[in-house]
This record gives sequence, structure tokens and C-alpha cells, in this order.
Amino acid sequence: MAKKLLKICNLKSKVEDEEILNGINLEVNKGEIHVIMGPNGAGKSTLANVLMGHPEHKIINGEIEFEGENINELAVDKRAKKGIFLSFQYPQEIPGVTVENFLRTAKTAVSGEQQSIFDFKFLLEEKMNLLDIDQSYADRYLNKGFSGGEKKKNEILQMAVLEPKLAILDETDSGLDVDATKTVAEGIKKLASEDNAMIIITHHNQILDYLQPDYVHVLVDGRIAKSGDMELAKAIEKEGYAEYKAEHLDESNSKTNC
Amino acid sequence: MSEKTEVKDVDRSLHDEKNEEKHRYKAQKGLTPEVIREISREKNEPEWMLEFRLKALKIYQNKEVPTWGADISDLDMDNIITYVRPDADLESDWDQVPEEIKNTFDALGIPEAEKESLAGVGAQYDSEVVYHNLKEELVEQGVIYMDMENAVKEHEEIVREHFMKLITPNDHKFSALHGAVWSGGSFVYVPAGVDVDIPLQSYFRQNAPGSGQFEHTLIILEEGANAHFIEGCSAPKYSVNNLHAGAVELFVNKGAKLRYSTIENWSRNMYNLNTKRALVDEDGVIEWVSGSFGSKVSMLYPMSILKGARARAEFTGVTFAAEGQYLDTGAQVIHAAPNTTSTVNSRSIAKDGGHAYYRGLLKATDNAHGAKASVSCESLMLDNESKSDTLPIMKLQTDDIDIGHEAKVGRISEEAVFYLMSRGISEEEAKAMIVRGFVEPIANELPLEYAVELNNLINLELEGTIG
Amino acid sequence: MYNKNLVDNLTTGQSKLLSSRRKESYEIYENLTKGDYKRINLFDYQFPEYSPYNKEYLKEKKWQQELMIKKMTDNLNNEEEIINYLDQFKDKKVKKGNQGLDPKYLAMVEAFYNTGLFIKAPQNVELKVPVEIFYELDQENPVLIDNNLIVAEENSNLTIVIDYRMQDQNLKAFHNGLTRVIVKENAVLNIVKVQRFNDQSDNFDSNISLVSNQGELNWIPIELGAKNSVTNNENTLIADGSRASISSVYFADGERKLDLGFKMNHQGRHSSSEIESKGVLKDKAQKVFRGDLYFQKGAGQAKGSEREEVLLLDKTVDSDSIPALFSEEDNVEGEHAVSAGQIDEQRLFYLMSRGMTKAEAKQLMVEASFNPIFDKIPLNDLKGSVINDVKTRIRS
Repeated sequence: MAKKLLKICNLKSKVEDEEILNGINLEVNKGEIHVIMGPNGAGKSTLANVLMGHPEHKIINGEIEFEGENINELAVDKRAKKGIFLSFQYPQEIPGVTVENFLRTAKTAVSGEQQSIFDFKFLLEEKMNLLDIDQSYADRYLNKGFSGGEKKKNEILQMAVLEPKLAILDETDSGLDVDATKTVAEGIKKLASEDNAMIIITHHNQILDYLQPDYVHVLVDGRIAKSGDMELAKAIEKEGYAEYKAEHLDESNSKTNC
Repeated sequence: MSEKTEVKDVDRSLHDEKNEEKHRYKAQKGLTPEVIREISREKNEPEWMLEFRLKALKIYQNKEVPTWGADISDLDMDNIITYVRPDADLESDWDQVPEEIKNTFDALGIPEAEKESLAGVGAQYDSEVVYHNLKEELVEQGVIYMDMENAVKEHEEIVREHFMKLITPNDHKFSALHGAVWSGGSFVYVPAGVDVDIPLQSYFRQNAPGSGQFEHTLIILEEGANAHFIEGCSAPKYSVNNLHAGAVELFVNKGAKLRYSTIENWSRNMYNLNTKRALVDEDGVIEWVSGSFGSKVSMLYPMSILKGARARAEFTGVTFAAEGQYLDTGAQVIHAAPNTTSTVNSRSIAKDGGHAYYRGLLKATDNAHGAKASVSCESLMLDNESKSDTLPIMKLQTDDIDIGHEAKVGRISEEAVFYLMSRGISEEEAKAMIVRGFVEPIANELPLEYAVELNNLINLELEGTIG
Repeated sequence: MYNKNLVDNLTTGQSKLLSSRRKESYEIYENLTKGDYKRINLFDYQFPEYSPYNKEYLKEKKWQQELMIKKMTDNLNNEEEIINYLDQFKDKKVKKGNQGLDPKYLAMVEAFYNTGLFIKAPQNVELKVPVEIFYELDQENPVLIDNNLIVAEENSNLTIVIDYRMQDQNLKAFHNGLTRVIVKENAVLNIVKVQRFNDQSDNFDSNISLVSNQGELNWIPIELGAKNSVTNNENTLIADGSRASISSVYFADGERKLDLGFKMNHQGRHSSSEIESKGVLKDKAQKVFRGDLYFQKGAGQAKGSEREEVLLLDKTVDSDSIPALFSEEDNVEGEHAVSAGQIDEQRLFYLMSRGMTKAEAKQLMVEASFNPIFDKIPLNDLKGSVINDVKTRIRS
């Protein structure tokens, strides 16, 4: 039981009046890598935002448990402090705030310990080397003028520095060329351990070849239509999502006990 | 997130310490030729300066108070004691500065600033300079840095040639007033080719109820010279409305480069009606860095007149208007020669009912061909009690120019706050971070200790948002 | 001249309520002192002698029966409705920023108008074909003072084209107009105004609108003529989700002077506005552009943008820009941008490398700048003749 990190039960959510998540069940344990695939508009990014606590998304039913605690009502920064991390699909640009300054502040907040300027510099240097990021990025304004690839690398750098227990990577591989995907994937792989877990939201199989996920879930119309392993991802690559559309839904797939 | 963060008001106790009034001399209330004669006699000035003051007084008496911009009808000039001299003679040694004055300066961190190898300190206490020091190496290079009173006597020729030639008593009511009653201020002369590599700074403040402050700053950079002058102001708070009508005249000759930085943090009952102008010759550069935080009302529009070919002006300014403040500021640039360039970058923040107004002018005269100018104004509103206005006027009288202007107003992006919060940062701190980032371009332009001071001012202003 | 006698003459045969409105306006007119237009050096301007305008100016079409179109100068039986609409503009004056034309000019129109239309699109009426109005000034009709009221009722959709023009190149004509516009819930109204007076004439034109919930008003003002042209276009977005746009084109050459004001007052939540202005100045032309975006308290989540581009073709031109952004709400997005300068040298070079002369290349660049707005003119004939006029002016 100590390994259990996240448990999602019959989760339903809406934005304004539109219902998007329609009864999600999912369990994630430490040391696992989960992949969520699905067609556009299925609710993948919504799931990521709901897990992170975006105020636009309202939970109308169900429960999110993190380390055995219901976090439905927890504010986003409190979730981050508990060890949840979201790599954004479209990271915000914050002019005037340097990457280093931002990350030191975040690290202080998440770890609850004041970060000495020098020690933190070393830490950041080390993580940047790990991810093959040029040291000059530390002094650049957060995401300002970054290319798509640079933004995604910067998200992974943040993950490396903050060392979350659960990392949700929302389309971290989209918009990246082959080489960049490889660098990012290798970075993620280096960060994966027995003590943390990852939920990877993606469209593409390329990143999965590097990461070797334990579970693959197909998200369609706000529900998980099928769960499986890497073979499922391969099948989808060949055949698409058609057979998982609502009318073909096999209720027996939602087998998590709530 | 839908709840708004309450941003508490600044704790001003640090800057609100005031001395017991201990002044050896106070001028009579009201302005008459007799008062002016007395001021001049006290200063032991040359006759031409007295004549100048009297002429300015006449203009002052005949000029109307401007009706645009801020409401300054509360000002009653007749009740403003225009001349207050502190209880200390000019000192060049810190040890001899009276204890009370030192204590106030200590609170403002001036001696520390000096210890950190700043070139000289000319701090104005009330109306006259009480402390003055300039590193010997600068004296050896022929650099003159002294108070205006003594400069009038010791460097009479050069002062007479420049004094109030760029800002004349005819310009407006407050420049006329300034001409009549000016007192204190700094005089800087940098000979040709001399590079003053450490900033010269003057910290002045006023400290008597109802006293006006009319310091005059005159800086002349000869050909190819280079200098950085820092003006900082802070005044304790009193119940009587205070008036500040100083004048800053900057002469930047061929190929010279002057940076003029100000962090202004007058107490919140001050009327800050300062006039600042720079005249820039061929290939010369003027750089203004301006932070406006204090005062009840500010009307401040530093002007750069680019009169020589390829002259350049840069203005970087931040204005922070909080409760009860109306800060009307902006840059004026006159392109009056070919291939001149200018960049204006202004940021303003309004909160708790404060009103920030950017009022700028960009003019290209008919011989300004090849001129390039860009103006960028961004305003951040922290609540809907506050107001933010932008009015950049452009007047172009020739075709071969490249002018661009951009302005934006809005509030802190909620998506940006969510992004920062998703990294564990609290909402309050996330917002403070974004505000600090917003003024970062200005902080970047300041010497380190002033950047720290600017940051402290913002932190104080956003107190309660810093975790 | 413009006195009590003239008002008495003009009210003879006019319906009662509108007559008394003329008389009230005359009182106001009498008590006002005329202001100057300082930025274009137009001081102590004298109105020319009054003269009636007797030409037909409305192209009547059969399908227009769906609309209500009346001449304001006639003896009307629905005048109470008109007065009720006009009363909606009372107390709507916004004090901040550009105040538009001198009040005496507005009072002059209301007291002495010699033409003007009341056009109403009733609820749910949608017309695909524009209403065409042509005011053509000549020797017999050298003075045009038009007082128009245009109302788009709920869910209606209407386009109106007003062309102010003249053939005579020597006549010294005068136009002072006032157009008030009301756009109701969910209605869409497009108004194209083309001004092509000769270089001897003077043009004064005020446009004031109120836009309701989800209503949309699009102005396309095209200023190509007149010795002095002073115009103002002020829109108040009074309710939620109201929208207004201005797509302005101006071309000034010779010694002509333009003073153009555009203003968007955001009062409603989620209201949005856009001001786009493209202009060219040539010879000794002088122009003032005033563009105000004003977010009033309560206009949460409103958006406004303003963009001015001016091409300067000669060094003797004089171009003033006064873009203003006023905000009393934090939850708004407002931005403005101005760019001024010559035609990009690289582009000119590129076009000339393909065999064009410099003049041809410049002309092409001007057209390229104007065309996106000209494309919004719904009548092909008019569009063609406007493009031709611009060409002629560039070449001369």
C-alpha cells in the first residue's frame, strides 16, 4: 500500500457548462510510468489540468486521492508542494523573471527550505548538464522568446529541480523534432525512479520507445476506454481510435475499485 | 484564484523619521522681492544672480498655474516656506555632520552607499548641501562636483553661461518660481575626454513642514566625457502639502555620454513638479533611468533635445501609483537633427485607487531626417479601484523617419499565476514575482545597490504578497 | 445668416416635435462661442452663407420597403419615435479624452440641417444589399448640413453607404454633418462613409453611436478630399458583449488638413473594439489622428485595440498622432500601436527590380496598404472609383 500514489475515482469535470471528464478511474503507484493516449478533444489536457487544480475546471463528481488524501479542494500551489508536477503543453512566458530566480523560489516553496544562492546554482548547473541545456538559459527570462523545444526542455528542467513524486507530462513531445524528442525523453528517463511516477500524455509513439511505459490508457470522450501495455499503443498507431469511440465502449474496462 | 490578493500598503516608517525642527533660519512666508533679496544676500551671491531671481519672480507672478494634468489647486504658494536652511555648515568630513542629520541619513543608507565606493555624496538636507565629498582622483582629472551655491561663486563664468538656459523662467509657472527661489542642488563639470567610471550620487530630502524644495542640478559634460549621476529623494511625511519644484539641466556635448538615474520616493503629501531637460550634441548620448514611487502628485516629463546629428536618447521609467497618488509622468524627446535616435520604455503600476498617467511627447522637426524612435508603454492594474492612462503624443514634421509606438494595459495574467503556482509558489508570491518581472527592465538599468533599493520599494509596496 | 429667422423658415412645414428641437438647438447654438481647431491651425472659422440642399440623395429601391426611411426635414407622422431615439443620447456624453467637434458645430447641425435621413431597420430585418446615399454638392447646392439618425433594431442586419462628393473642382463648398446611430441587441450595422470633396471645400462630420448587448457596429470612413476636414467618430459600447470597429483610410495631399478623431468608450462587460487607421500624407498635407480607447469602470473583460499606420511621402508633411488609452478597470486588455515613416526601401527596391518606376512602386505600396479596407466597400462601382481617385491623387 505504501507504493500507492494516485487514485482517481469516477472523476467528472466541467469547464463553464461543458462537461469534459466523464468518469475517469485510474491508479498510479510509485515506480510506474503511465501513458494516456487519445484523439483530439478527448479530455487529455483537461485531466492534466484537473489533477493540477486549474480553477477553470470544476470537479462535479468523484475523487482525486494523492498519497491517501483527498485533494479535490486543494489549491494548485499546495498540490505542487505535495509533489505533483505538470509539464505544460503551452508554458507561460513570464518576462523579467529569470529561470534561475524562478526555480530557486519554487524550490524553496516546494522543499520548504531556503535555497542558498550558491548551492542552488550548483544544483541547477548539474540538472542543466543532465538535460544538455546551455548554462546561459539560467539568466534568461522564463520562457520569454524560447522556441517550442526550448520551452519543453525548460519544463523538464523544472521537473528535475523540483523532484516531484508525480509528474504529468502534457504533450511534452509535441512540436519537437526527432533529436529534440530524444533529448527530452532521455532526460525524462534519467529522472524516473522507484520513488516517483509519471503520467505521460502524448499523441506519438516515438517518445514511448524511449520510455517503455508500464501502462497505456486510451482516453475517449472523457473516459478511459481501454487500458493495456505497450502493445495497445502499437495497435492504436496502426488502427487509430475508431474502435474506442463511445458506442464501442466496454464498461468492463473501468475496473478500478472505488 | 478568483479571489484577489490584498496588497497591503507600504510600511513607510523607515523613511518617515523626522528630526526635531532645528533650523537656524527660516524665510518669511510668502514671496516678495524682499524675500528674494534676503535669500540672495544670505547666499552672498553675485549681483547677476540676484537680478535673475528678481526677473524670474516677476514672471512667476504673471504666470497662470497650468490647468491640464494634475489638480494642484490645494497648493497655496503664499504659505510655503521656500527657504529653510539646516543647522549645519557645509561639511566635507562625515564625522563633522551633526548627529541628528546623520541618523536620518543612516536610515536612508547613504554612508553605506558611499563606503561601497561611490564617487561622491552630495546630500541635500532641506535646502542646502550639508555633506559633500568627492574622491581625489576625480578632482585630479579636473572633475568638479560641488553644491550649486558655491559653484555660482567659484565657477561663475561657466555657471552663468549655462544656468537656466535650457529651462527658462518663461517655460511655466514652476520654472519661474524655481528661478526666483532656487536653493541647493549639485553642479557637475566633466572635462573633455574624462570618463568618470563610478556613479556620482546626490541624496536629498526635505524636512521642514511646509517647506518647498527648489534645488538646481546643472551637469555639463564636455566633448567625449562620460558620467553617471544618481539622484535619489525621500522625505518624511508632514500634514502640510509640500512642494518640490527643482530643475535639472544637462548639457551633453559632442560624443559625451551621460546617464541620469532617479529613484524618487517623496512622502505622500508632496507635490513633485520637477523640470528636467537635456541638450545633446552630435553623437552624444543621454540615458534617463527614472523610478517614481512617492509624492501625492507628480508631474514630471524629462525632455531630451537631440540637437546634434546622431545624438541618442534613452528613457527607462517605472511609475508605481498607490492609494491617494496621482503620478503623471512621461518622456519627451525632440529629434532636431539628422539620424538621431531615441528609445522610450515606460512601465506603470496602479493599485489601491492610485492613478498612473503616462504623458509623453515625441517630436521630429523638419531636419530630423533619418531619425528613428520607438516608444513602448505598458501598464499593469492591480485592482479596479485604480486608474491607468496613456497619452503619447507624436508630432512628425518630416518623412524620412521610422517611428514606432506601442502601449498596453491589463492586469496580471491568471494563466501566468497558475503556471507559477503549479511550481509550488503561493498566489501572493506569484503575483509579486510577476510585478517584479514587469519592472525588471528598469531594475536592470540601475547600479546594484539602487536595484536592490528599487526591489525593496516594490516589496514594501506589495507587502503581504511576499511569502 | 444662421439666426432666428432662418430657424423659423426651416421649421415651416416641418413636424412639430422636430421643429421645437431645432429651436432648442438654436438657443444652444446662440449661447456657444465657437472654438478653434488648433492643431490644424484652423482659427476663427466662418460658416458660409446658408443655402438649401435640393437634390435627391437617396437611391430608392423596391426592397427598401422593409426599412423605414424618412427625410428628417419632412412633415413626419412618426416623429415621436425619432425624438425617443434621439433622447437616448442625452447624458451619454463621456467627459474624458477627445471631446470631438466643437459643440457649436453640433448645435449648428441640429438647428439648421437642410437634409438628413431617419433610417430604421425593424426587428429581424436583414438586408443583403446596402442602402445607398449620395450627397453631391454643386453650384446650386453648395452647402450640406445633414442630420441623420440610423437605428438597427434587435436582430437586424443592415449596410449603409454614404458618399459625399462633387464634380466641380473650383466650387467652395461646405459640409457639416451629424450622424447618430443606435445598434440594438444582436443587430449588425455597417456604415461606409466616403468623403471626396474638392480641395477648396471644408468638411465637418460628427458620428456618435450607442451599441447594445451583442450588437455590432462597423464603420468604414474613407477620407480623400476637402481643404479642411475635421471628423469625429465616437462609439459607446453600453452593454455586455457589444462590439464596434473602425477601419479608416485617409489620403491627404497638397496643403490639405485633416483632424480625425476616433473614440471607443467601453461600458459593457466583454465589450470589444478595434480601431484601424491607414493613411498617406503627401506634399504639405497635415493630419492629426486622435484615437481613444477608454475602459470605463464596469467594463470588465473588455478588449480594445488601436492601430495607426501612416506613410509619409514627402518631407514637408506634418503628422500628429495622439493615441490614448484610459483604463479604470483592471480586467481589460487594451493596446495601441502607431507606426509612421516612409515606404520600406527594400520593398521599393524589390518592386523596381521588376521594372517599375519609383512612382509606380510607391503607388502599388499605397494601394497594398489601403486595399484590405477598400475590400470592405460593398459596392463595386464605388470601390472602383475610390481606388481610381487615390491613384489620381498619388500621381498628381
